[in-house]
Amino acid sequence: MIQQVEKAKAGFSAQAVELVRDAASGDVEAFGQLYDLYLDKIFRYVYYHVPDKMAAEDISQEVFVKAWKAIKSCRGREDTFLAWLYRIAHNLMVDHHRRQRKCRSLEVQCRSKMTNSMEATELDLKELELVQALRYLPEEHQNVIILKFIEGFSNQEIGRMLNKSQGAIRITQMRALSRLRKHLTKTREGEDGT
Amino acid sequence: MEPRISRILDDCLARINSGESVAACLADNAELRDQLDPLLNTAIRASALPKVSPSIEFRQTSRLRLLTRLKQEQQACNSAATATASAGETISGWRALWHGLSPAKRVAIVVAIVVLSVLTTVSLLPRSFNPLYPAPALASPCVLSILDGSAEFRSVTSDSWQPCRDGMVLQPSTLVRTGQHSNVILTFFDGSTIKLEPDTNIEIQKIKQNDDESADIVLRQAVGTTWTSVACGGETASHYRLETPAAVAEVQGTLFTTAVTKEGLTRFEAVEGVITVTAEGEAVRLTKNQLTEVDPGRPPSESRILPQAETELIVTSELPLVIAVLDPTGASTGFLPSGLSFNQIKDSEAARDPHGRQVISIQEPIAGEYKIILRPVTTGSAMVGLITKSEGTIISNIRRQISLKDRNGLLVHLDLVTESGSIVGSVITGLEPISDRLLEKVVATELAQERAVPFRLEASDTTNPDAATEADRSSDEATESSASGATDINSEAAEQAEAPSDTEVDEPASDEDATPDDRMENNQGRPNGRTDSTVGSPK
Repeated sequence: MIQQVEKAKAGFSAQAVELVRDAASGDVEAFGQLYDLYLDKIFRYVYYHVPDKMAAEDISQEVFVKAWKAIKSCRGREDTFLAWLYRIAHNLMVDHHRRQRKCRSLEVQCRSKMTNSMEATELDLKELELVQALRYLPEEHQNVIILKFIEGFSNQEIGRMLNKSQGAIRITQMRALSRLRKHLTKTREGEDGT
Repeated sequence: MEPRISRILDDCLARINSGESVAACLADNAELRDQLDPLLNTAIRASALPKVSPSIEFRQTSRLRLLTRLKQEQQACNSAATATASAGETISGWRALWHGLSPAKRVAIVVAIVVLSVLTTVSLLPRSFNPLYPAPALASPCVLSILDGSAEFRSVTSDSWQPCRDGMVLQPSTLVRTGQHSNVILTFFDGSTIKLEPDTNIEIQKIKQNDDESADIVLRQAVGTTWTSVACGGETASHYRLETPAAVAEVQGTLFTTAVTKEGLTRFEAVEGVITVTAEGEAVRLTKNQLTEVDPGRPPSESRILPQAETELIVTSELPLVIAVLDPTGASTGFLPSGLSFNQIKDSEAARDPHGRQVISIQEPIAGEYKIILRPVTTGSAMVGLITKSEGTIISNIRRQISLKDRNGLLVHLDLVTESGSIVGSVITGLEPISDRLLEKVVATELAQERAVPFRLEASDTTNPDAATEADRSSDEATESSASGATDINSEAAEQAEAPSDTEVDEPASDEDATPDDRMENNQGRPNGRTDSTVGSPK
């Protein structure tokens, strides 16, 4: 049975709407509470994209800094705050990947390897295999897998965040699962020597 | 095939999520068992991943760091405001000095200040305001553009009508009426526009710019048909209110039609956004593709779905070409390379995606000559599509790779022929370069220009499943516009053969060197069916 993951929208309570409204009016403490509410979600989203936990933490924090600077645009649209946060995270990761392509320094590669070994202690082997396979997917496929199966958003919600139709989300979902499956199968065949 | 399987997969996932077993889903889709089984199991496995979290150390320190930083920035802003207040104290000191001067000295000082102010202001003004550099009235509350025919205006306090001039500025408390066979556009300072069709009469009651740069616009439409595009860019959507003899509509960030008969019967049709229509103490909320009718003295009818358009004209393009369409009345819908978007053609929609692909769709297009304007962001070639549909059937589907070797744009003349409400043919009757001419009657307000997101060619642009090239349109669920203003047009075609094929990526030889980024760069899906015939700019 697919895990009953927490629905972000259901979690977007009246309290959260109030917090967004207050934060949009300049209330830093209200924004701090929003940070507490959504840091984990944004971190997870970033983490499954970047092979570096420390980079994921940095990017996650940057998401909220950028969000604060533009939070007035949420006035009147408080219920889209979370989707908007994901959008910021997505854009920051695009920037991150671009920077990474330009600067494949030894330091970054070492950090990646170090992070991988840290991950190995947090996740069991099968989970680690899946996470690593996920990172080999194209970004679009990663987004849909993470938002749908890990964060539990609906196709409609994902469509809003990624600016795509629900039909396109369904197709991407199917392609992503197919790719992920093939990757996992290849990895297993490689290990078995077949 | 892919859309069908993806739907079935999605349905199975929903069923499993609600407690059914994988076996039950597979039993109901026996012919697809081999395809579905591995996908469902992979989905279950992905859902079971643990919820990783940031480190405890990060969680403890980051919040404090973030809030400290935000408070410091906030204090910096407040300090600037305090500095302004203390300036007031300085002013009272100067007042005491002023009263001690002789009258002659006071006059001399005033004249000197005025002369210096004028010279300084004129030299510092942006060109758009600077009388030394005449430019369109970008900061005016409302600019009138005559598309065709003629129009008249008068103040609410006057009885005599006067002819309108193209480009004239209108103030609140002004009435405008269009003649027979006449079409006019009013452009407000925030970029909102209203197109007045023939024999239409409206009154501009209020135009106000709020502190947050949003607009408060109130109009009254006595009779006739209008097509309104309310700007929704920037931090806050403009507030737009349209009164008719029967009802009041309040809108934000919307495309809609309003038709008022001589008897005052009013019909509102929402193409995009939300409209709240109020009459006799009752309100009806319209969302995308809904309409309501209001009889004077009665509450609005229940909202109902707009009948599907019988005919449609669709124009598509991709970077480096940016498209706009001019209809036979002179109204235009589309984009400029600066990112400025406009929507003056009734029942039209213009959308762009993050990769710069654009789609312009016109429902129930009128017969006559259309001008399709292609402007390059940079030299290069792009696939341009022209589709006409009538009663669900594609009448024509032209796709051409257009190559522009210089910065001149291209103007395509398209003749659309209709008969008894159906499109029977479309013919390209001419092509010509347009250099940097602006054929569209677009008033580029400062606010709209500030909010526009320019088209930029990204080196890493790749195709994606939501390719804006369409062969067909389905009635899929609607999505709301994103904060950047781009609208995703739902299309089954985006799911079908025109979408890029999911080509396999060649794995690098060594896993050590493999990165997700390498794979992204290698993944160059191409849509099927592209013709690569190059059409250069005609000399």
